[in-house]
Formats: sequence, C-alpha cells, structure tokens
Amino acid sequence: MFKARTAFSTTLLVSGALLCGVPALQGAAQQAAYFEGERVTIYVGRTPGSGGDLAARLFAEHWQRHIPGEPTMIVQNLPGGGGTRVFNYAAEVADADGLHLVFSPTAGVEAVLKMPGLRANFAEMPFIGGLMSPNMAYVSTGKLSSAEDLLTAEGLRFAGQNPIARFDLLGRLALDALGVDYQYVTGFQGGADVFNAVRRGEVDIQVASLGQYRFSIEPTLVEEGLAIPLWHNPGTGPDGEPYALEVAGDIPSYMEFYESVKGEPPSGREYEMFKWLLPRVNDIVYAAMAPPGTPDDVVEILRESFGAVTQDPEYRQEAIKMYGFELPPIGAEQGSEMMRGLYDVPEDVEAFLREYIDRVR
Amino acid sequence: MIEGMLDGLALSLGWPSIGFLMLGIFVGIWVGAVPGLGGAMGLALMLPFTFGMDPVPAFALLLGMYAVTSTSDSISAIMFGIPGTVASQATILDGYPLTKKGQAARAFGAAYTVSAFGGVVGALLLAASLPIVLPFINAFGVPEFFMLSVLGLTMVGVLSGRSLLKGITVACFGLLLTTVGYANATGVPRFYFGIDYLLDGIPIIPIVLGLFGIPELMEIAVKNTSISRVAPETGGSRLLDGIKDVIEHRWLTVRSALIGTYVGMLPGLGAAIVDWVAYGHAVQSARDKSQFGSGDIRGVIAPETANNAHKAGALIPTVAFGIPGSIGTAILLGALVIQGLRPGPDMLTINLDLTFSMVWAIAIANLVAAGLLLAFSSQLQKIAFLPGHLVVPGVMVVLLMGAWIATNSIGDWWVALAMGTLGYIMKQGGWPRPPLILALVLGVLMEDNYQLSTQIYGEYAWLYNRPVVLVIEALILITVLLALWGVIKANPKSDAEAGEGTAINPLVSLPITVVLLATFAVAYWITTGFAQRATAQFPHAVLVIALPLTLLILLQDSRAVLGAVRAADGFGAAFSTAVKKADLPASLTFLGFLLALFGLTYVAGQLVALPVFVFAYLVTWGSYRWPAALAYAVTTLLLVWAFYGQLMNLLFQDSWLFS
Repeated sequence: MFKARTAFSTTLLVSGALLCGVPALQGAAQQAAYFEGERVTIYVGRTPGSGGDLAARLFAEHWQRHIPGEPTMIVQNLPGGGGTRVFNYAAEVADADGLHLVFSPTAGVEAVLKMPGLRANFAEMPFIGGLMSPNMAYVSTGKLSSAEDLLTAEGLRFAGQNPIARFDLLGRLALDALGVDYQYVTGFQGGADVFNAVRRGEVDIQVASLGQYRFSIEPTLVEEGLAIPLWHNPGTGPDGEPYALEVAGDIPSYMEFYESVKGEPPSGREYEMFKWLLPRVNDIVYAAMAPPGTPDDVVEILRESFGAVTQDPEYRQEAIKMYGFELPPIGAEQGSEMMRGLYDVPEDVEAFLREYIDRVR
Repeated sequence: MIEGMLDGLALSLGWPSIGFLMLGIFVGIWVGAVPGLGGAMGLALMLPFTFGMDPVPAFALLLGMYAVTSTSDSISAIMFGIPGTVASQATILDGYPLTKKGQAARAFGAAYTVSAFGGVVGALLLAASLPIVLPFINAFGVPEFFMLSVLGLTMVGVLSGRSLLKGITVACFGLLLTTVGYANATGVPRFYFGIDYLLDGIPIIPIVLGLFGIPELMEIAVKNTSISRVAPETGGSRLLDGIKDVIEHRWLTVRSALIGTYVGMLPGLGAAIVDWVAYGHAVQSARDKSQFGSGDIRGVIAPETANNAHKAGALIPTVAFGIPGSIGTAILLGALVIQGLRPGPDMLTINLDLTFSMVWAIAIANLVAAGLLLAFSSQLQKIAFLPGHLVVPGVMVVLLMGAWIATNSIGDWWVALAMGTLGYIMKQGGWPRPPLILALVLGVLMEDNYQLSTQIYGEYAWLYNRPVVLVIEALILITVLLALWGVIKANPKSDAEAGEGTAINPLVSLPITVVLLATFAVAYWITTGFAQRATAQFPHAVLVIALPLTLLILLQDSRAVLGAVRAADGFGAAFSTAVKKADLPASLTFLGFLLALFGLTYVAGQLVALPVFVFAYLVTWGSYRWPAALAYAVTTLLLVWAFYGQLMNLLFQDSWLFS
C-alpha cells in the first residue's frame, strides 16, 4: 500500500511538475529555436590581433555555448574612423535581429566631445554587457626613489598617445589634481612605445593597462627596481562614487594614493572632472551592444548569456591566462546608465574638457 | 647558453612540435603568397587555436607560419609585380622585370636561397647577440629613430630613375599622404574632408597593391602579352642560375642579413623599412648600377635576405625584454602571455630552452619553406608564359580582395583604383613610384619621432649633441653626396626607357606635374588654417619643400612639351604620339571595366560583380569562348566566397540589391 501510495504520489508530483514546467520549457525551447543553427556576427572596431580583437575572440568562443541553441559566433573586424566606424555600422547598417552585435572598445571621449566620425548614439543601442580593462599609473625611478617623492620631483614627463586618448586625459587630470609638476609628452603610437620610452629614460610616467603592467612592466622594470607602481584608476559604483578594484591587488586606488601622499581625500576641479570621466570613458572598455531596434526579448537572452560567460570557470581561467586577472564585468543596467551618461554633459563640463585638451595641443 | 641551444633544438624537433611547425609552414606559405594578408593577420587568425596548447607546439605553429611569410611573399612580387606582404615591396623593382625577361625561375632561385640564408643567419646572429641586444636597443631614442627615418628617405636618391627632382617630389607627396587622418601629437584630424574612411589615415596596403599591381595588369591587358615579354625557348632561365647568383654576391647577402637582423631589433622599424634599406644599400654599394630597376638580381637578393633576417631580429627584444617591434611581434607577445609566460629575464634563464626553441623554429621554418618553394617554383614560373588575358582577371580579383582586407570597406577599392590610375600615368610619364611607397612607410615614423624629440629634448640640441644621431647624420650626408654624384655622372644622352622613372613622355608628365602642384597648393592653404602648430608643422614642412620643386619640374616639363610639339610639327601630332605611346585609349577602356566592376559591386555585391568582371573580361578582351569564361568565373566565385568569405570572415560590401 505504501508503495502504491508512493507510486501515486510520485505520479502526481511528476505530473504536477511537468504541468508547472511546461511554460518554462516552452520559453527555453523558443529561445533555443531562435538561435539554433544561426550565425551570430560580432563586429570589432580594431584590427586582427589587437587587444580589442583578442578580447572579443576569447569572449565569443565561450559566449556561443551559453546562448540557447548554441549558434556559431564569428568575429568580423571593422577598423576605421578612430574606432567609431564599427558603431556607426551597427547603428546604421547591421540588422537588428540579435544576430549582429558589436563588441568593441567604446568611444567614450568621442561621444562626450561629439567628435567627427561618430554618428551612432550609444544610448539608443541596447547594452548587453561590458568588461572593464583596469589600468594604472607608474613612474620610473630615474628621478625619484619613492611614490611619495612624486609631489616634489622635478623634470618629470608623463607620456601618452594624444590629448583625447582616455589614458592621457585621466593621467593628466590625476596628476594635476595631485599638483605634480610634470611635462606632458604626446604622440606615441601606442602603449608599447611609451613603455619603451620609459625604459630608455626619455619619459617617466605612463598610464598603462593592468595587463601590460603585469606582463611587461612589472617583470622588466618594477621587479628590477626601475619603476614604481603609483595608483590604479578605480571603478565607479551605481552611486557614482569611485571604488577600488580588487584585481589591482596591492596597487592602491587613485583615492587611496592621493590620501596617502596629501594627507586628505582628493578634491578640486581636476579631481571632480576625473571622477566624472571615469564611468564614461574608463569603466566600460569593451562593450557588447546590439543595433537599435533589436527585440527586447532577444536582448534579454543575450544579456543573460553574457552574464553566464563571466561566471563560466573555463572562460575565467582563460581570461586569467590572457590578462593575468579577470576583467570585471559590467551589467546591462549599469552599462546602459553609463551610456546614457555620455550624452548628459553639462555645458561647463564640456567647455572645461575642450579647453583642457586644447591647452596641450 | 650552448645547453640552452641544444635543449631548444630538442624541443623543436620533438613531437608534436615538429608537426605543428610543418603545419605552420604550410599556412605561412599561403598567407605570404596571397596579397593583403601578411604575417600579422595570419598570427591574429591562428592565435585562438593555440589557446589550451602547450607553449612549445603553440609557438612552433605560430612561428612556423610567421617566419615564412617573408619567403612566400616574393611569389606575387616576382611573378605579378604585386607585393605579397609589405616586406616584399622592394623585391618588385627588380624581381618583376626579371620575370618580364623570362627569368622568373632565376629570381625565385635567388629569392628562396637568400630567404633561407637570411632566416637562419638572422636566428643565429640573434642568439649570439643576446648580451648586446638591450644596450643596442637602448642606444636608439626618439631622435635616433627620426634620423633613421631621414636616412631611409635618402634612399629616394637611388629610386628616382632618371629624375631626382621627380623622385623627391613624389616622396613629398607620399609624406603628405601620411598626414591624412588624426595627427598623433594633437588628436586633430587633418585632410579628411568629412569622409570617415580617412579619419584613421589611408591604409598602406591598398595604396601599394594599386600603385604597383594595377598598372602592371593594365599593361599586360593593353599590350596583349604574357607577363614574360620573352618566349620560353629563347630567354628562359633556371633556378640554379639564381642560386649561383647568390654565391656570386655572397657578401651582399651577408651584409643584407646583418641589416635585417639589427635593424629588425629596433622597435618600430618593421619589415617594410628593412627591405628598402637593404635595397638602397645594394644600389649604393654596386659599381654598376645601370640595371637596377630593370632586372638586376642584386635587387632581389638584398631585400629578400633582409626581410627574413628581420623576423628573427625582432623576436628577441619581444621575448627577452617585452619590447614588441611590430604588430606581428606584439601578437607574439600576446601569445606569450596567453601561455602564462612573462617576457623578460625568465625567458633568458629558466625558460632559455623555450626561447631557443623559438629561434630554432624560425631557422628550421625558413629552410623547409625555401626547399618546398624551390621545388615548386619550376612549375610556378610557367605562369609567366601563359597568355596575359588568362592571368589578368584572376590576379585582379586577388589584388582587389587583398586591398579589401585592409578595412573591409569600399574605400579600400577606391584607394587602390586611384593609386592604380596614378601609378599607370606615373609609369608612362617617367615619374618613379618607389619613392612614394618609401615615404608612406617612413612618414608616420618621421613625424611622430620629430614631434617627440622636440618635446623631450628641445628644438635643436638633439641634432648635434647625441653621438648616434651624429653618426646617422654623417651617413645621411654620405648618401646624399653619393646620390648627387650619381646624378652628375649619369649619361644625359641616354634615352633608354627601362626601369622606374625612365619613360620619356612629356605630354603625359605635364598633367601629373600640374595636378601635384595644385594638390600641394591646396594642402598648403589648408595647413594655414590648422590652429595647432604641431598639427601643421610636418605637412607644412613637406609642402615648403614640395612646392618649389614642383614648380621647377613644371618648367622642365613645359620646355619638354614645347620641344615635343616642335619636333612633331604641331600640338595635335605631338598629343597623338604621346597618347599612342602611353596606350591611353586601351588603358581608359580597362579602367572603364574596373569602374563598371565597382558600380556592379554597389548594386549587387562582390560575389556577383567579381565573377561577372572575370567573365566579361575573358570574353571581350581575351576572346575566350563563353564556357571557358564561365568556368573561370564560377571558380572565382567559389574562391572569393570560400576563402575570403568563409575562412577569412571578411565583411562584403553591403549592396543595394541584397542588403
């Protein structure tokens, strides 16, 4: 009798579960059917082999497994326009069907300053997910022996690529907020060239990606006593306040560094501008977005799968291998807010930024 | 050290590393041979396959591919006058003329032999130079790089053919082209005229492919000739002749290997610069320079040695010091990181065997690739004797798709076509093309390092208080004096029209002069409106030199035109003679075909336009029957779809019909 009751109960339970589960299965089945057998194209606004390209390829390799239906994901390179072409393409040409996505370094400065070439409006493109690429500042020990000497050292040179590059802007604002006496040297082709110039003693300070720091700068300069890490550029929380990044390890955040050398929390116009710019140009370096008009339910699927990748142990292991750490993910809501923030630029902020950039041209 | 070398060799020859090395070699031969791809692109595409592999086989695969692209890129450079990669530009100058003389096999024999030599010697020199590498690299700062780029530009003197003035002016035009797009020092866009495509500057690959490749194809089509102007029975040559040439010019080979290895070590000086430097050295060091540009085998030996030695030279700074010298070595640095390795002292101590396994991989890859290509070349060289109309459509498709790879944009095709048109007219009008390419390769390096030198070291002091700068300045002076001496010694009565910049057709040259003058004048006017000094400085300096030179040429050309008109008894007759000499009507028809191809691409996309072009060309120009033409066209379609569309994942043109 017990067995019969058990069998009946079991049947009841299973039937009930089946009945309850049918809508979910239907939803999952529909989701899978949408992408099954399809090819999802990811457009990257960088040349093959560049950091942005490799980041997209690594992510795509894992992303396709997490999208229901497991479509094939391919990467297509669309360099040009200073990185803006790919966003223009997504906004104006690509089909808004969830099978055409952008995963590319964002053009935050270009959007804020309304620079030529960028026609896409990031706020109108559904934000799927993003990855931070943490970065940090370091100084060679040619003219100083400790980080604290930064405020009193003379003849320091901070080097960068051009006045509108985010590393250059953030670096200058950070140094100016600290009151460091330095000369800004611009025109290097890339981070590797700046690093070479630091090595040769031609310049002293660089803002570099944390990956470059871990794999080139730390073993060849810092561990040899030829350079000292200063600070890392922090992330920005939903409340708009900066926070230290765990992945930076023992490199202090800019706020922590400021307080350690100045004895008080950071303040001033340059710091306020630094804080304002961070979420707009630095927090999301690699952004996955869909063309405007992509159906909401498809965007949701992509968002969920994007999040799943960032939790995937296999992806995380390969990311650590590639970068030395996991790139902190940015969720859809926070990312969308950040994109909208690119177009909410007070007049005085825009005027300050333009004058600040023109000052060194 | 010896133990490290031997351990490295054992690692390279072990299984599965040797298997991956061979696979890499086969892929690299293909990547180098197809114009527009290049080693860096190959590395970028293969890198994801190495995720999860062990370091030794991963690098065997990558380096096996990377090392041999500089060997196989000479295939299209010698056979079709189209560089396979940026490292084979200089090889075209004498390699292609040798093919036209029916001596493709000789050129291949020399190219592959010295490629193997350069790659192996470069690898060995590298290993032996480890102790001095870092001090050597550190001796070159931004002022030294600026002076090196100026030294490189003095090669214009040996590349200018009949007219040094025209060579320098063309170089100025090339330098001006490098200023299109964002200025690095200021982030201000220059000369982009609201065209987004130009914001990142004009990519070099479509320029080179168009400037060199299209005129040659046009000439074959218009003259209805095979690539070789000499029938195989009378003027053929053998691979062995090329190998014998290498032995005869062994010391040039050794010097070129040294140039490639040590210049290759310097970050930022890529293969494109190395082959021009080696070529220039070959010309300057030769007693008899008369055949350079018309098929002098030394013009193949020098650049092909250097561009292979360069690959090895660029590796050690990357691995040992984390200093990538080029896009390719930057990707290799990424590969190192992905493998969990850190560049730097570890790679010269605890991982020394791995470092040497990479050196051995390069050496072995060069030997194997050279052997394979030598064996294959005897068949390959027969293409030179095929009817030209069979060759032109296929090569044009490969050229255009090679240009497309640059940015996947129709702008790449327009650049290639514009440069092709310009290149054809330049050839007919006696304007040398190589100085333009040399300037394109050096322009950005020159401007950036000048701006950096003045920011870091002040306006002028660095020009006279740095020992290496002074040495380079002395070399520049010697080079310039040698070039002037060559101009003075040149036979003014010679009317030989072989080689770059030697054609005599003033009625074709004059319009080029006028267009250049107008371009320089408008550009100068635009530079006066740049708000920032650093934005205007470099183009301004170039234009200040270019404008008076162009005016001088205008005077010369005007006198020559008047002379031609008098000799022909009237402008009409002179114009008619000039047009006939330049094959202008047929050339314009060919251009019309290309424009129709472009138009059809806008309407229906490449997968329709390219096969239609092939079919139409074969039927109308080649008079082939439609079944054969159709078969060729279908093959083209399959090639473009499979290779460029599926394998390379290129984005095709968004067409009106199928968008």
